[in-house]
Amino acid sequence: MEINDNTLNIAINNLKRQKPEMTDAEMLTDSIMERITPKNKRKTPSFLLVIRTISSSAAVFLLGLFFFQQTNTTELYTNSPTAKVAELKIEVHSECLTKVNSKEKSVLDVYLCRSKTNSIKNQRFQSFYHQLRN
Amino acid sequence: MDKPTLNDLIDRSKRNDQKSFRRIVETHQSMIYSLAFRIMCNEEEAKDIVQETFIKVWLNLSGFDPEKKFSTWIYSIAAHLCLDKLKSKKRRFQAEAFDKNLYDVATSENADQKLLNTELGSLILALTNNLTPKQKIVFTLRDLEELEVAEIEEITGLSAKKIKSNLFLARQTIRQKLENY
Repeated sequence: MEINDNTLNIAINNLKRQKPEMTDAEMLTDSIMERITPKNKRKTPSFLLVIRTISSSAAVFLLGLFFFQQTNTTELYTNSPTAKVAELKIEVHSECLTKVNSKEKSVLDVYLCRSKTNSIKNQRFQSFYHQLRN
Repeated sequence: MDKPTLNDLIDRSKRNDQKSFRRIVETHQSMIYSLAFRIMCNEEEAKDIVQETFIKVWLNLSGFDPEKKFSTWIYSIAAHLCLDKLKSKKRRFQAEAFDKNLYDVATSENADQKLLNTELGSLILALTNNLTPKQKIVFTLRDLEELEVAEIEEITGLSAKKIKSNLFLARQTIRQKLENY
């Protein structure tokens, strides 16, 4: 069959005239609206909001208090007279360390100083031991 | 719908007013359904396209230029969704879809309308089955939806020359199809 432009236009016009009708249009609108409604946007109860605010404020306050106390305790300890006395006592009794602290000697000197002190102590201990046995 | 009213609805929808957006959906969904049905030739797929189109519209409403025609913008979203779907289908034989349509007709409360739609879908499918996705979209927009070439250019992003060549090839294929009957 020879098809001319007129026949083609008739076919196209027939398709054009037949408009597809949507069934369940309202249902489709509802489902679209349901899909665009964000699920996480549901209203949060007000008492939950109050609890959330109070607990976050308390957490911030406790954290601040913790840091404040830490700083204060360190300052108190380092500035207290007891701490200074303890520090002084350590320095007085350790001759070798005092020399290092005052930068008079090197680490090697401290080591030698230590071994010298130890050998003297050992000699004393040996003589004491002999005396005790005799 | 008057233009100021539509612009008001768009503005309110941009501010997350869902009632205004619902009115936009109600007034434009049949237009998108008609386009989607004529391209996809299937009621359920057309409804899916309508849904996806309006979800995209809602998500991208802030990017809509009020100087442009709203219907052209929605048509563009729907046409691109149809094009993607057609490309993914790759001329698969639609026997399954046809069976599903018959089941829907048999069990539907709107059996008459469903039957008309199924027949119309089958007729369009029979004539346009051999068209490429682009030819199908251009043919539907120009010959069935009767849009101007300039508007089709805006919707599809194709040049006027390409639109005309796609339309020519589409008509030629349909003519050959009619000769075979």
